[in-house]
Amino acid sequence: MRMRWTSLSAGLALWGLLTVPICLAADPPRALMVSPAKDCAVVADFAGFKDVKTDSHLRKITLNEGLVIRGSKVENGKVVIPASGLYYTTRTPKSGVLQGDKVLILGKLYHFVDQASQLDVIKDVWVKKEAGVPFGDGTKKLELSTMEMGANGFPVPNATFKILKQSGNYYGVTFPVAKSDLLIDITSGVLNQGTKRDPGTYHPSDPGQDFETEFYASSVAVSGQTYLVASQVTPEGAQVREFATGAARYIVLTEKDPAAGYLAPGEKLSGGGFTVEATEVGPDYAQVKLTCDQSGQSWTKRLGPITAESIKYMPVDEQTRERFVLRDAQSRALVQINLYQADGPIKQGKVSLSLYHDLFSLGNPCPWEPDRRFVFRPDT
Amino acid sequence: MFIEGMLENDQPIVLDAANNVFVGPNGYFKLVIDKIDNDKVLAWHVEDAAGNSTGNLAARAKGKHVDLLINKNNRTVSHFMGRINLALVSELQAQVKALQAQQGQAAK
Repeated sequence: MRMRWTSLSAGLALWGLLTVPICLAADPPRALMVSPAKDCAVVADFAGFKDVKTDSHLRKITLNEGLVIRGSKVENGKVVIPASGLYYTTRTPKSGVLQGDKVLILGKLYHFVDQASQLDVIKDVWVKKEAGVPFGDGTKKLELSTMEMGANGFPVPNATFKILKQSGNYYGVTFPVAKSDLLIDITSGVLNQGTKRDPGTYHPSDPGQDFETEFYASSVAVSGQTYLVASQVTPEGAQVREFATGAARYIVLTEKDPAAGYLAPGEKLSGGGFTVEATEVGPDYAQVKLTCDQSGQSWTKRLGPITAESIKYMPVDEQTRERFVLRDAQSRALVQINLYQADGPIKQGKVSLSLYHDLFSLGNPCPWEPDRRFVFRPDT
Repeated sequence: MFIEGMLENDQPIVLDAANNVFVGPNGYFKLVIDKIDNDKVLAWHVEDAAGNSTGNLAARAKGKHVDLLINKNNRTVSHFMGRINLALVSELQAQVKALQAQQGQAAK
């Protein structure tokens, strides 16, 4: 079904009013966390799935589409693909909000305006070798992918965990942990200052230098916000004291270009039935007023201050990010101070603002409103 | 950060000789079953919205399924391809060898 963009726009505008992702109507068994078969068909390049170069305030990036089918079978004269077995995929290399990044969906570019995330935590779980435990909403797994015995030349188990995502792919970082009386756990801080060795070459027979009885390991593995703490590692499996990792709750997009520019006090920008006025511009802040043209309702906020402290975790810190954006009550429009504008967010008494409008939200997961035979799901 | 989005089929897809086309989201692509014989799909392909076709995709799986990867530049696809790259190289070498043999026989 091909939808005309004119009718799609109206649908998306209504969709934007949905602040809470809605549940999917029926939930058949889904082929989530499943890989395509190793003898799958492979098409390296195909015109219909695009690689699109885009520009943002920070950089040029290329966005890539693809298609995956998994879990399919042929029987009794029928081809059967399970629910979630066919997915269109769009990759956005570490795209962030506030910085003018875009997202490619079905050949169209959308401005990436807003997002919210969550941290999923599990505690005190036993994970068997080559098995996994679900976490979050159950669509991802913490998998104990390999248990290697003898990695150091003697039989001690070394566990490597991976995060299996909905797409069937693994999170890009693995989590190796080990815990044994034969290993020195570096979480004690034993290596924090290095050892007392001087630069040079040592033999085990040198006094106090029997490095062949000195093996290091860590019971904790990390990657940014993601951490895994093991309390026990055995040849059969491992006990996880605590594991946590992030996921997307929703993203907010718009197909419409924002109204944008440097505004002195009293100057305005309009778009999508909204007007924003800079009412005051200070050295590291701006007072702005957002008005709905039709209703006359308005919202005001002092955006900033822009300081080394307030921007240190930008643009990912969604709590502090609120200082730099203003929305209307229904989240149909969003004004942002352009922190990453090449010429700076404030110059010569003017503030760089973008007014995004015609916003819509995509939950994790949620129906794809332009074609409800499909479900949108971030793979994070 | 947002690194990947997926549009998945909400309900199972069932295709046969009579009902042989599945249209992707917003008509962006089509999955077409061209020829099926009980437990084997003998020919199938994907078409994009402009009508470009992949050609028959049944060979690698010998008709047992229609699992698929398209576009090596998409990182999700390339991760999956990375798991089978060595097999793909061997298969391509075998195909080149077979073609060379055919050409050699034709030249005789």
